[in-house]
Amino acid sequence: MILLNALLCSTLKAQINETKLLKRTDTLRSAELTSFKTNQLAEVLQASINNGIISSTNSNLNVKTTIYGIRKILDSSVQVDTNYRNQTFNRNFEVGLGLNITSSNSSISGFSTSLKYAIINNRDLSIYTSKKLKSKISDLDMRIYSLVKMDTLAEVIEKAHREGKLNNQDYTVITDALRNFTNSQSDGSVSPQKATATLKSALLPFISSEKFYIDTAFFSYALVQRVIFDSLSNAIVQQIKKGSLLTLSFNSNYQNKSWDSLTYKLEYIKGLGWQKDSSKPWDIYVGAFYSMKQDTISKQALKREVITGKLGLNKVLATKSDGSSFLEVLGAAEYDYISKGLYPSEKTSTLVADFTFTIRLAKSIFLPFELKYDPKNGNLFGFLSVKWDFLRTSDKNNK
Amino acid sequence: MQNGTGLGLFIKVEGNVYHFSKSETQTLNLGPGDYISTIGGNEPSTASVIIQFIENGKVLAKQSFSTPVFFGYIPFTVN
Repeated sequence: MILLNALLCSTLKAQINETKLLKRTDTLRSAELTSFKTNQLAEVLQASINNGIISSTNSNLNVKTTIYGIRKILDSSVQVDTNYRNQTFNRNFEVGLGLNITSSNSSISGFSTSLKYAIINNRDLSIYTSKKLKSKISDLDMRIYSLVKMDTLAEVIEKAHREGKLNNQDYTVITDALRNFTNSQSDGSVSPQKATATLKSALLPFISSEKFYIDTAFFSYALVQRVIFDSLSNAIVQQIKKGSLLTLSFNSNYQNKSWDSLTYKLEYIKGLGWQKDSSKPWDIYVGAFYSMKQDTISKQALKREVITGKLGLNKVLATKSDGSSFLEVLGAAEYDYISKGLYPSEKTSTLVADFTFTIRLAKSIFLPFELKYDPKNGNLFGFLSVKWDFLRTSDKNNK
Repeated sequence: MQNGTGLGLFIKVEGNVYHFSKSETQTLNLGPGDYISTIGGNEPSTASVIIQFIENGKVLAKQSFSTPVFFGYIPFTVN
């Protein structure tokens, strides 16, 4: 009795090959990551230090994670896809904690908490359930099934060996060539075209054999099919990249023994999916916030109420050689309306230009620099952050 | 597969094609000389895919992939 244990990863960490595979996978995941997307919903764990470099002397230390991220720390088996696919709620629910630090004396002046839930999450392939995507996946599955079913190369060779038409030495040469064909492409380092050419070359002495027949036309057919596979697979990935993400969040900030602010946020992002610019994607951002803030004149907690609307576009401007985002910018217009607790000489509404430039310093480290400009009053605010993003597939051996 | 979508994987055993839609173990009754040949599949999420053939807890053969689409051979004969 043989068990075909497909996709089981319980022994991964003990095996060198699998560790290499995870590194490769992590790199691929990392290449697709943009700071803009993980700002909306953490992948697993995210830590940041924020500092108002122009107008403030305080810093914030923040950590946020999904419930899935916490579970992953406690039980690594939750990553295996049969478990992972049952974690939809936990992957869509993010919690955060922060500390406010007064820079002058390095004392903790307050703390913050946040809760966020992704009401719509079409940016994650394993959560996405649209009929259109399912149809594309089904089409790809059927094509792969047909090619596997149609392929007889290995069976012809096996049959020839069983019938004594192929001696052990030749049989070993051919099966080694088949293994090399598969292994050489397993991490994407060799193209199917090159692997096929190498396999044909290895089989050449046997192709003209009168003892058994190798259908060389199948090689060409398989290559054409694999171009179609790649195209369909790419279309699935592109559909996910332009998917929408709608989150609802609640943030609280407690400072100097008083509530500084309570904020409800509804945020929406969607990729524009322009094919021409697919390596440097565009995303639209829409946000609506309702905040209750401390009246800093009367020192009364939550006496000011501010409604904010924000509309922006995020664009990856530059990528690294591996295709990962290196520089991205979010340009947005922010409209603030003070519905309660207006200060003397303060205007009810303000329109602010908001630009966030994010440089990726390393695979998981981002340096966002946010500039807010109030053109009417000529006020400029700058915020510099350092953000660490820990990815879904990060392995402890992956430095 | 870790953090993956659990999409299609097809394995040809003695001319029959078996489908795996997610991390799972299927039990097959194979005899000596039975042959496992072709594999193909897709995992667009870039999750890692590991295929193992196990007899009495011992891994007889395995193959891993990290490409979104894959096709190849596991020339493996049951002793």
